[in-house]
Amino acid sequence: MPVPIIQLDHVSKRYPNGFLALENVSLALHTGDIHALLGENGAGKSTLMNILYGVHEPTEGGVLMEGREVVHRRPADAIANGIGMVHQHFKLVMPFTVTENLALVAKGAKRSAFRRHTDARAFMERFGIDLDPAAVVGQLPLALQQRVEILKALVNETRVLLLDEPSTILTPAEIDNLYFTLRRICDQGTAVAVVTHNVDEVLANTDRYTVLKRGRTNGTGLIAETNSAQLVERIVGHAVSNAARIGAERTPGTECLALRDVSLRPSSGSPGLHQIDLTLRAGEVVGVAGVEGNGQTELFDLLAGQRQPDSGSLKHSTQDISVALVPQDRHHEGLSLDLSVAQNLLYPRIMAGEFRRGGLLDHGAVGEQAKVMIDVSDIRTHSHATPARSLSGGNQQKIVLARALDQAASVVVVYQPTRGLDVAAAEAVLTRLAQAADNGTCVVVISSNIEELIRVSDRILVVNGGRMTGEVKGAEMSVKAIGPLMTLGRQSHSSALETADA
Amino acid sequence: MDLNSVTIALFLAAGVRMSVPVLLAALGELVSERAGVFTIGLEGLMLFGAVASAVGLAMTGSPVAALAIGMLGGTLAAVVLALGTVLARANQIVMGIGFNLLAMGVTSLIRQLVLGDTPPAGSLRSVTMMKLPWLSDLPVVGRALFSQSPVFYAAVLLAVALWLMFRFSRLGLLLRAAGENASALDAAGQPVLRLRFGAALFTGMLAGLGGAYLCIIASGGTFIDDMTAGRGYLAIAISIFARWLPLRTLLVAFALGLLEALQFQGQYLGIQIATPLLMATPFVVALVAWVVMGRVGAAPGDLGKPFLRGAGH
Repeated sequence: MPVPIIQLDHVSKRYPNGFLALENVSLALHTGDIHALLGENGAGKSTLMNILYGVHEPTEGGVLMEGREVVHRRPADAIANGIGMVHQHFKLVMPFTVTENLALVAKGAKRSAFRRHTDARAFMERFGIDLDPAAVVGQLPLALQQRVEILKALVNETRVLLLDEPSTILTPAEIDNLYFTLRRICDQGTAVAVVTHNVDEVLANTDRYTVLKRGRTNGTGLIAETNSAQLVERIVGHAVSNAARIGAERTPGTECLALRDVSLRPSSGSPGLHQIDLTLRAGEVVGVAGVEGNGQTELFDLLAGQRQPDSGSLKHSTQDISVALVPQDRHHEGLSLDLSVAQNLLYPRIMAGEFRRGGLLDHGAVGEQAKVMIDVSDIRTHSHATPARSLSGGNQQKIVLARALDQAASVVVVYQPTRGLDVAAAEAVLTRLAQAADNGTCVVVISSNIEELIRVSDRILVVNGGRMTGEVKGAEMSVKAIGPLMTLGRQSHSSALETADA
Repeated sequence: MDLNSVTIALFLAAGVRMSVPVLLAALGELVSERAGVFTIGLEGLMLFGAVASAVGLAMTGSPVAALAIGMLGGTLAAVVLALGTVLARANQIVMGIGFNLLAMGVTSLIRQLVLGDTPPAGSLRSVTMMKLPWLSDLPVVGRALFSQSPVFYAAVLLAVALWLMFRFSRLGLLLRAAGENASALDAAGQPVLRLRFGAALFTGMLAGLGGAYLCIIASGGTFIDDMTAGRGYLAIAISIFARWLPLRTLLVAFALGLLEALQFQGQYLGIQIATPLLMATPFVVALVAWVVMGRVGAAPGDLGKPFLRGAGH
C-alpha cells in the first residue's frame, strides 16, 4: 500500500477544560480517495478535522505527511503544506464578492491570480463550477456559498481537502452535484476527507471510511467491504431502521391557523412568497419541503409573527392560538449561549412569571424542572448550570426543541430540526415531534431532508421560488414525487436526480 | 465687516487649520476600525503625540524633527494600547477610556518634569506655512487651501492614498477582512493579529502627528495640559460619520473645522451666535454620529470584537 499523503498517528486531544475529545485515534488519507469520517455528535470528528488543519494541536501523538512528521500550529502551517478546509460554519467574509473571498486565501505566487473577476471565473471553470464572481457572497444561497468555500480551499496547490459536514445543508440533488465536484477534485491528485452523518451518501459516493465513537476509532476500512447495516451499527452501536414511518396515521382536528392568498415581496436574497394558501389543523405534522432559499425562511417568519404579509391574510382560528418556534440558527436565535442550560430551557416560563418565590427567582425550582427536561430530552451536559455554549450542536438543538415543546403551544414550527444531528439524536427529535402531534399539537416541519419529512409528516407541501408547487400526502409521499416539485425549472438538478435514481 | 473674498478666504483657511489635527486622527481611527479595532484611546494617543513633539522641539530645536518625534510618541503609546486591546484581548472600550485618563496624567507629568516654563525659541515657519507655487495666487482658494502647513497637504495626500489602498490593494483587502470577519481571515491562513497590531500602530502614528500639529503648529510649540480637549473623540465620530471612507472623512473633518472656525471668525462674517454654543457644536454633531452608528449597516462586522482563535465555537 502506498504511503498516505497525510496520517494521524495515535492522536489524543484534551481541551483546556479537561474534556478528552479524542483518544488514541489514527487515520490515513490517500491521494485520489474520498474518505468518509462518520460518527455521532460529539464523537470528535470536528476536533479531528481541526487538528489536521492546525486550528488545534494534538495533546499526544502526531501528524505525518508522506511519512514525515509535521507540526501545524496554525491554519497557515496547514495551508502551506497543501491542506484546504471547508468549514461547517462558513468562514466567508459576507460583504465581500466571490473574487475578493478567493483573493484573501491566495498565497505566494497565487496572489496575483485573483485580481479580476475574469481570473476567478477561469479558476472556477476548472472545477465545473458556474458562479458570478462579482456576486456579494452574503447574498448567495447557502449551497452556492458552500461552492465558494470549496473554491477557497482549492486556491493554493491543495493536496488534502477537508470538508466538515458539507451535505447537511444540501438537497439530495445538490449532494450528488457536490460529490461530482469532489470526484473531479480527487482525480486531479487530491485526497478528500468528508465528515458526514448520512450513511447512504457515504455508501454511494466515497471510497474509505473511519467511524469515531466517543473520541475513539470504532472501525475503518474500504466502502466496498462494508454495508449500510454495519456502518449504522458502528456509528450508533445499535441498529436504527432509517426507513420506517414515525407515528401512526392521524386524523387532523380543528383548524387553528390559516393563510389565505398570502404574498411577500421578493428582495435581494429572498424570492418572497406568492399566493400561498395553507390551512393548519390540530394534531397533524405538516412537512414543508424545498431547496434552501425558496421561501422557507419567509414562511417561518410569517408563521412566527415576525413578518406581516404584504397582501393576503393570516388568521388564527381562536384568540388563544399560540406558536412555539425552533429557529434555523440555534446560535443566534435559538439560544443565549452564555446562559445556563436550565435558563435556556425555561426562560419563556421564567418570563411568564413562574418559579417566583417572594418576588425573587427561585433558582432551585428552575434547576429541578430543568433536570426533568434534560432527562426526558436526553440532553448530554455536565449539569443544568453549564453554559449552553459548551454543549455540542446536537445537544444545543435538543434544548431549543425541548423548550418549544414545553410551551404547550397549539402550533410548533421547526426549521431544519435535525440539521447537524447524528442518526440517534435525529431519530429522537423526530419521535418527539410525532408525539406532540399525537397529543393534539399542530407541528410544521420545514426541512430540505425529504426522507425525514416523508417519515414524519402526514402531508408535505413543496415550495419552489416562493410558490407552493405541490402538496403530497399519505402513500404518495416519495422522493420521486417530491424531488421534481422542489427542483422544478432547474434542468441540471432534475437530470442529476434522475441519474441518481437510475 | 462685510462678506468679501478676503474674509471668506480667511474663514475657509481657519476651517482648514482647525480640521487638520482631527483629520489626521480620524484617518488613523478609520484604518484601525476597518481592521476591527475600536481605538477609543485616540484622545490619549494625540496627547502623547503632542507632548512628545514639545519635548522634541525643546531638545532638537527643529520643528520638522519635533513633528517626527510626535509621530514616534504616538506610535510608542499605541504599542502599549495595542498590547492590551489586540494581543491581550482586553475590552477595547474600557481599555481605551482608561488609557485616555492615564494619558492626561502622564503627559501633564512629563510637561512638569521635562518641559519647564521657558517658551520654545526659533522659527516654526518651515512647518506652519508652505505656499504652493502658482496655486496660492488663485483668488480665495489660494489663501484658503494652498497657503497651509505642509502637514495639511500630507494629510490630503494620505486620504487619497488610503482610499486607493482600501479600494485596490491586497493589503486593503486583508485589513477590511480583519474587520469584517477575523475568523474567516484566520481560517484563510492570514495573520489577523499582526494586521490588527499594524493598523493600531498606524493609528498611533497619525494621532501622534495630529497631536504634534496642535502643539507645534497651532500653539507655537507650547504643550498645555489636556490641549486636545476632546478632539480625539471628535475624530472617532468623524470616522463613523464618514462611514469609514477616507475621502468622506476628509470632507466631514473640513466641515467640522469650519464649524470650529466660526468661534473665531464668525463675528467677521457677521454671524451673531454665542461662542459657547459654537464651541459645543462639533460635539453635538459627534453625539449624533455616535447615535447614528448603531443604525448604520456599513460598520465592519467584527468592529470592537477581540480575536481569539476557535472562540467562535
